[in-house]
Amino acid sequence: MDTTKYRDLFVSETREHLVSLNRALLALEKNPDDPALLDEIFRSMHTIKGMAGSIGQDQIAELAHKAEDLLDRLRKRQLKLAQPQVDAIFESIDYLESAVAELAAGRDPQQNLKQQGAELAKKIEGLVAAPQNSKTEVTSAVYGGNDFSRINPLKTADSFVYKVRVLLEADVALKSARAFLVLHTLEQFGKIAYTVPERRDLEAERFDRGFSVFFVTSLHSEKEIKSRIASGEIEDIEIEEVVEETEEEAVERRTVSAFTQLAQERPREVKVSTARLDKLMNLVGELVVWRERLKQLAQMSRNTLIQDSVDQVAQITSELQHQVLASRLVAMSEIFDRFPRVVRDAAKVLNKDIDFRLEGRELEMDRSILQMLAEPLVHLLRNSVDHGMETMAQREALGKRKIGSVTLSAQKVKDQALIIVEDDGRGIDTERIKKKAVEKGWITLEQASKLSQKQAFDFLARPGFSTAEKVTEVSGRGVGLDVVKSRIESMGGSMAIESTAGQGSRFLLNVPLSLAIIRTLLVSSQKQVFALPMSQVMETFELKPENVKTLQGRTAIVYRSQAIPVQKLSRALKLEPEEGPLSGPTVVLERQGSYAAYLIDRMVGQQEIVVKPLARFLNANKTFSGVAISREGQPMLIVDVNNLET
Amino acid sequence: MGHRVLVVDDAIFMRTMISDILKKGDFEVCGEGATGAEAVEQYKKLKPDLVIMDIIMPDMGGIEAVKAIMQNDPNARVLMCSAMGQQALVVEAIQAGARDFVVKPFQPSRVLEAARRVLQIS
Repeated sequence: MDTTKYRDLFVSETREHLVSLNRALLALEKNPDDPALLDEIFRSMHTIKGMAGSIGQDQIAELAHKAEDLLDRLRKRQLKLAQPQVDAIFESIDYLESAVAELAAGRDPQQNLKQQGAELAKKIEGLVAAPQNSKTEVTSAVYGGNDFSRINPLKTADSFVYKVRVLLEADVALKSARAFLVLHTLEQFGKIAYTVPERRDLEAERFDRGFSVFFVTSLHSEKEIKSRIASGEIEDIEIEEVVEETEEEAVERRTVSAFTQLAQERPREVKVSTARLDKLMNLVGELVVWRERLKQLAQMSRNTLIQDSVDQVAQITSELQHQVLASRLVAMSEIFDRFPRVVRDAAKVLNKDIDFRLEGRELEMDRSILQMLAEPLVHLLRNSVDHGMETMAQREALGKRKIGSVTLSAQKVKDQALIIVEDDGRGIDTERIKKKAVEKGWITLEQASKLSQKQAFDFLARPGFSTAEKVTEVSGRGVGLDVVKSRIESMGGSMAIESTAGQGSRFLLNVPLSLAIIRTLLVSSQKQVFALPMSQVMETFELKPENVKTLQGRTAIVYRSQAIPVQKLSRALKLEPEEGPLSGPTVVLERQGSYAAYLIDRMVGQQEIVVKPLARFLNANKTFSGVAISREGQPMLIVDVNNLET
Repeated sequence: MGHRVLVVDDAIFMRTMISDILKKGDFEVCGEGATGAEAVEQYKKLKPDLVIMDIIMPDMGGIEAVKAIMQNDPNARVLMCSAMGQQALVVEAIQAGARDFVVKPFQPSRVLEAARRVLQIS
């Protein structure tokens, strides 16, 4: 069998399972008595095994099989759940992640990984080799396996056993009532041994749209059974007679069915490669630009027929753009759900006890931004656990709760996502930052004494700064906040730090929900057009010369009852050195809570633009965040307000 | 030759709509009722091939009516109409003997399909 075409499917499905495995296992650590969690973990592992076997990845299948064995014992209470078992499963997940990463890269797992897998398999074997019951259950009831211990008591001399698979239509209304009707009808002429999912789950609507019924009846006609249970909103009914099978047969069937099951369970979702989504996005982006141009031309033509058609096209384009953007959205949970593991592992190494909370997993954002966020967030979380959090002994001595708390939250604020990493640790010591900045020769002692807390925190994110006293396994060398900051800014976002000594710290990240298209205000300065992100434009007005004041040698105006710096945009962008009179059209921009005003030549208009990243060498001084195409088809630069000189 | 159907719903609008759907599908609407009590009474009088009945009605609801009709004629064929969110009531109606159900808002094809299936005509 040519397995390469299944490989991508295998990789993406397995990754999904690994994410849920991680989540369920972490939950299990907290609630070791919850059988549903063990079942979920078992099922995921089982599915991975089946898929891996089907595409000839024997080693992955083998390890998953061993892990499944262990889980099965735990599930059946033949083994007690304890730390070594949990750790072994975590290690298995890690191994599977690495192996899948190799496959995703188009390679077969390397020798050392193979060895790691073999060792892990041995280790799990050792854990499984606990006292065995003389007779273990042969087959499992998971996903359609035939559990004859539940079927046999119902059998009579003239009965037959059928497995009835029912697939409801995708838009079924009242699906548990629909399922009930099927079960009720069957019970008119036979007995139900059990259903998969279990009946209580069917009744509580805890199923997708397919279920199986193991049914014992004296009616020996698949066709007749089918016609009796046929009713509305059922897409398909499959009936097969089942006979007790050997263990080998059961294993064989389960392995083969893993893929067909996947295919049946998700026919309404199609996997699309991100490259294709990106391409689509780019095309729509171009379309948006030409729509703007077309609108302009239509207006100039003064021909209402053309204008009406263009309006229609514009509307369809907007809808298309909206749909394409929506298709790129994924829930935060896609990366968030990995973090409990990150925090757990870091805390474990450091021997700290941390209560980690996630909020806003359901917030959706553009896939590409989400991916870019993963690394900075891991960084911040590890920082919080490592540097932010005191040791348990220290916390106790301080009279704080022994268990530290770290929270990662996401929420939508205007067009942006506000992501906060918060801990109740020791907070950031402003004095120590100042001292360090002086030591580095960045500022003088005198300047240091005048620094505000916010200015001091800015040093934290400066390359070459690190207050960590030693290099640790968890955070590595240096705190690397500068890396986090520049990564966030390269996405068009911003980072702010808040902290109270002794009480904790908050890292606030503002990032766009959608990277590709932003609303901008177009302004001209020195005959060039620049785009300013609308989300950072506070106000525009005509500045009168008499309103300009000089404070400590700098020009300033009063805005919202505070003095804010004012200068020509052309000067901030280093287009012209000379000073002219400070009057005329002015725009107030916001960056991380502070404001600055810039004089421009004139307002050009508003436009939705498609951001294209700027080549690095063009942007050495970080004044621009990207380049876009104007309605006239000319390239124009997008000003990076966060790095604009004030 | 059309099968004879009794249509029961407290809303005239719904009765009219269901009747129209049925007539277009070659059924004969032999009677109408607005309450569960009327349904039982009409059933005894008309002996229709099929009853299409709402679950929630004044003066004896649909479930009570199914029970009464089934008591009168264990082979009665009753098709329930329900709105979204009435899962528990639908289950109760099935237990009482209803053969199938359709969920509002109706698609004409669904109603006809269900009616034909309950009557075992294709």
